[in-house]
Amino acid sequence: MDFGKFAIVVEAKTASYEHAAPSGISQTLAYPSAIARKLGRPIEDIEMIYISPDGHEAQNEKATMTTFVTFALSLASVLETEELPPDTRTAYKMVITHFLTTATTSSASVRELITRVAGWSLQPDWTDDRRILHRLHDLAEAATILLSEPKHER
Amino acid sequence: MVKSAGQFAAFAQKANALLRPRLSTPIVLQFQEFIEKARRLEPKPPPEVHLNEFKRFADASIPMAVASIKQSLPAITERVRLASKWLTDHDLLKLAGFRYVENSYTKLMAWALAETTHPPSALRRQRAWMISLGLDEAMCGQNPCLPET
Repeated sequence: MDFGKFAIVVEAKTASYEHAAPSGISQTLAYPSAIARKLGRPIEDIEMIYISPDGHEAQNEKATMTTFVTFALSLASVLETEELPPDTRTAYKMVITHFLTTATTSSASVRELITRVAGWSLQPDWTDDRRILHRLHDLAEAATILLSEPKHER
Repeated sequence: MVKSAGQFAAFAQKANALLRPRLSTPIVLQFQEFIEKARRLEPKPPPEVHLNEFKRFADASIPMAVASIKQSLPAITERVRLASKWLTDHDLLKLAGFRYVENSYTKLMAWALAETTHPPSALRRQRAWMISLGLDEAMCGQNPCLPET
């Protein structure tokens, strides 16, 4: 993604870890300099994004690590208030559903978990300590899936 | 056939004489010795279970876990409500065989961020992702960019 002043390079991983590019250097280390050369930009203008189901570490310590869930939630937050054509909305729902419920490392049934916790959140005793204790496992799982933050060194 | 007490006594004597050597084999004797020693073993007291320590640990940790989750409840609430609005009954992409297909995921992301997918929201979609990554949204400039795969 070339924004003019900056460019973003995205490396997506699903069921594997980073491997060497044809140059022999790890992908997240090789790609920024390759793209910088291609675009005729200094490497400082290239941002490396490493996206995976669990947000695991990239070989490039300057890369930003993130998850497909974070990506899906960012889309959902923007599109929530947008008037979308029905077919476009349906297509976004398919993508968001997949990234939220399948492109994760959770062993839980994420769809059911989200629906269940959303239902609890409407109940008046939602913040009651005894209720939280009773639902601790599900709430901790929801927090792990939905509240993961991108990791990067700046 | 045994017809009288006298005959029975004679039969028992013969049988005893026949069986005695077999019951005296080394293996049987060793087994009998083992049984005898086992009988003399004193029963050990049950192992000491530190239930009180565990109870103290649980009593201390449970309120901490509850407090930690309670602090996250506003964020959990916001995200589950947002997510639940976008969930379909079935994950059609998974059913279609796209689970964990890297190249398809990259193309899906490019489609989801592309201007042409929905021009009015393009810049907001791209900025929202930058913000979620902790990057400066100003990186996006004033116009949406074209994701290339």
